[in-house]
Amino acid sequence: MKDLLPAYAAGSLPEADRDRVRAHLADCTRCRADLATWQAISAAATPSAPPPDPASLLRAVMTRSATMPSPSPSRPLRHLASLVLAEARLIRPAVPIASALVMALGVAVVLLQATAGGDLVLSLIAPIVAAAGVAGTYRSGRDPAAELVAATPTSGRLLLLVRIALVFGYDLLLTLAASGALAASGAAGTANLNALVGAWLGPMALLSSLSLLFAVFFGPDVALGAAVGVWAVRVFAGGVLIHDGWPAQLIVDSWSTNAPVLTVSVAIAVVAVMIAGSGEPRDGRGATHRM
Amino acid sequence: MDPGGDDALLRSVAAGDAAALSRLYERHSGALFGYLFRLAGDRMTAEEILQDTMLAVWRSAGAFEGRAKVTTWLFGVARRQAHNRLRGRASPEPAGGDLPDPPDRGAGPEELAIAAAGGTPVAAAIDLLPGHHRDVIALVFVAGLPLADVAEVLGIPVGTVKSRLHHARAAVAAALTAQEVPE
Amino acid sequence: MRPLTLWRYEIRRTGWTALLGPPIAVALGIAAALANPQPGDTTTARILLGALEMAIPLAAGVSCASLIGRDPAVEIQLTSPTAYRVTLVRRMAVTLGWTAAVAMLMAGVLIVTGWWDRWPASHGPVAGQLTWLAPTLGLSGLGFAAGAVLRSPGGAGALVTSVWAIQQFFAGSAQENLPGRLLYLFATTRGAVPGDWTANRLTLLGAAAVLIALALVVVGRSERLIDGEDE
Repeated sequence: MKDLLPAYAAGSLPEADRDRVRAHLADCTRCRADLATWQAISAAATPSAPPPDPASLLRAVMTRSATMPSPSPSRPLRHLASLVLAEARLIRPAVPIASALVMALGVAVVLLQATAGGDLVLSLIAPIVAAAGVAGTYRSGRDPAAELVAATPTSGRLLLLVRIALVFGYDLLLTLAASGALAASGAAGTANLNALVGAWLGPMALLSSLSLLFAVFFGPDVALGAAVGVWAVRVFAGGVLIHDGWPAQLIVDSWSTNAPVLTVSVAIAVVAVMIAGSGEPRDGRGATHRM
Repeated sequence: MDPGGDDALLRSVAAGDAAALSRLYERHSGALFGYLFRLAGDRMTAEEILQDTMLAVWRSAGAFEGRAKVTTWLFGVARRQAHNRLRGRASPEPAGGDLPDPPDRGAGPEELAIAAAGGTPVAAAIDLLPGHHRDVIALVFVAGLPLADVAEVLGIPVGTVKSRLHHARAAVAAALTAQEVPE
Repeated sequence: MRPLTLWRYEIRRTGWTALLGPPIAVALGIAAALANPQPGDTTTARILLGALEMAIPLAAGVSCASLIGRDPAVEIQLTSPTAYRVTLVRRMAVTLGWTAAVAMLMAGVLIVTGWWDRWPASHGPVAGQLTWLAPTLGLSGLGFAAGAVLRSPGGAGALVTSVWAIQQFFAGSAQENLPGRLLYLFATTRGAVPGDWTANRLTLLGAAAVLIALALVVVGRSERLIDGEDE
C-alpha cells in the first residue's frame, strides 16, 4: 500500500487501484500523512513555466533537420557486420579448432597412404564435421546466453542465420583449404580441385541442412545423433557390405553434388530457419532441463 | 490521453507528416518540458534539450517498433538527449549501485516535515538532489508516468524505482533539515 | 547421497536420445540384413555381426562424446562432494551399460538362432563377445577423451564419426601395417589376419583404458572446465 502512494499522488494509478487507495486512506492516518509528503513533492516538482509554443519549436526543428545529413543508408549493413562480429566472438575457440583437427586428420590419412583418393576421404569427413557444427548453432535453453538472446530486439532468426553462416562458412573454407592442399600435393589418386570440391560440396550442404532441421525441431542433441545416424547409413551403403543393388545405389547417388541436391539443401535450410522462431527448440524444453 | 491516438500520430510522423509531429508535441509538451526542466535546472537548457528531443523524434520515428508505449519511447528519447547535453554536468545516472533499502519505508518524522514545509523550500531541496533522484521524481510526478513505464524508461526493475523514490524523499527531507526550515 | 540415488539420477539424466542410439543401430542392422540383395547365409551373418561390430560402437562413441560440455552449470558440479570425474565416469558407465545390455541381447539372439556361427571368422559365443565390446570401448574412449579435450559435443562427435568412417572405407590400407591392424575396429567382419584377432581386440581395450584415463586427468583440471560453456 505504501508503494502505491507516490503514484496516487502523481495521479498515474489505474482506476481500480485508485479506489482501493482512497478507501484505505479514509481509515489510515499514517498513510494520509505519508501521502501528504508525496503530494508536497509532487506540487514542488511541477514547474510553473509553460512549455515553448509548438509553432516556433517545430519551425526550429524542421530547419535543423533540413540542414542535417540524411541518415546513412548503409546503417543496416553496418548493423549486420557488427552482428556477425558479435556472434563470432561468442564462439568458443575449441569449436573451430576441433573441426580443423578432424580435417587435418583426414588430410593426413590421404597423404600417408597411397591407395585412397582425397575425394573419398573429404567426402566422408567434411559433411559430418559441418553438420555437427551446424547442429550446435541452434542453442538449446541450456545455452547461458539463451535468455539474453530471447530479450534482444534482433530477431532470433537473424541471429540463427548469422551463426549458421559463420559455422558453415568456416567449415566450407576449411574443406576448401584441405582440398587445395591435397590437389597441390598431388598425392596418389587425388584428382584436381574441381573434382575434389564436387565430391564433398553437395553432401556437406545436404547433411548440414538436415542437421539444422532436426536441431530446430528437437534440439542439438538429437540433431547430432540424427546426423551421425544418417551419415552412417550413407557410409554403409557405399561400403563393402551392401554396395550392390538399387537401395545402396540410390543412397550413394543422393549424396552427390548436383543441382537438385543443392537446391533441396537450401530449401530445407530455409524451412528450418522459418520454423525457428525465437531460437528455442520447438518441443518446448526451453530453459528448463526436463528430467 | 488516448494511447491509440499516439501510435497513429507516431506512424504519421514516421511517414513524414509534420502536422502529426506538431499534434504529438502539443499532447505531451507539458510533461516533456516539465521533465526536462527538472533535469536541466534552467529554462534555456530545457528548451534546447526539448528541441533536440523533437528533432530526434522526427528523424527516428521509423525506428519505433510499437512494442512499448509511445510515452515511454518519447521519454526515453528525451532522457538520452538530456544525457548528451548535460554530460559535462551532473549526469542523470547514479555513479555506483543503489544504496541498500532502509528497513522501514514509511515516512519518518523528517519526511513528514516535507508536507509542512511548503512549496518553495521543497522545490529548492529538489533542485539540490543528485541527478538520478531528480530523474525519478520528475518521471513519476512531473511526467506522470506509471511506475512500470518509469522502470522501462530507466531500464531498471520496478522495485528499484520504488526504492529510489523513497531514497529521493529521504534526501529531500535531509536537504530540508539542512536548510533549517522552521517547523 | 546414497550411491543408488545417484545412479538412478544419472540414468534419468541420460535422456532418451542417448538411450535410443543402440536400439536404432540394431534395428538398422536388421533392416540392412533383410534388404540384402545378395541373400546367403554368410553375407547375412556378416551384416548382422556388422551391426554389432560397426553400428553399436558408433552409437556408443557419439554418446560418450556428448557427455562433457552439456552441463549448464559446471561450477555447481565442481562444488558438490562427488568429484566431477566420478560423475562423468558414472554417466559413461550408464551409457556403456545400456549399450552393452542391448548388444548382449542381440548377441544372445544371434547365438541362439545360430547366426552367430555362420560367419566363418566368428570366434565363438564367449570370446566372440569381444567382437562388439572392444570397438565399443575403443570408440567410446576416443569420444570421451575428445570430449574432455575439446569440450564440444559436436566436435568430438564429428571426430568419432570420421575415425569410424575412415576405418570403414580404408580397410585394406589399415591392414598393411601392424599398428593399423591392431587398432582396426572391425576385425571380425571385415577381415583381419587371423592370428591377430585376439591381439587386435586386446589392443583396442588397452587403448580405451589409456584414453579414458587421459580424459579423466584432463577433466580434473577444473579451471579448464569453468572457462568453457556448452555448445
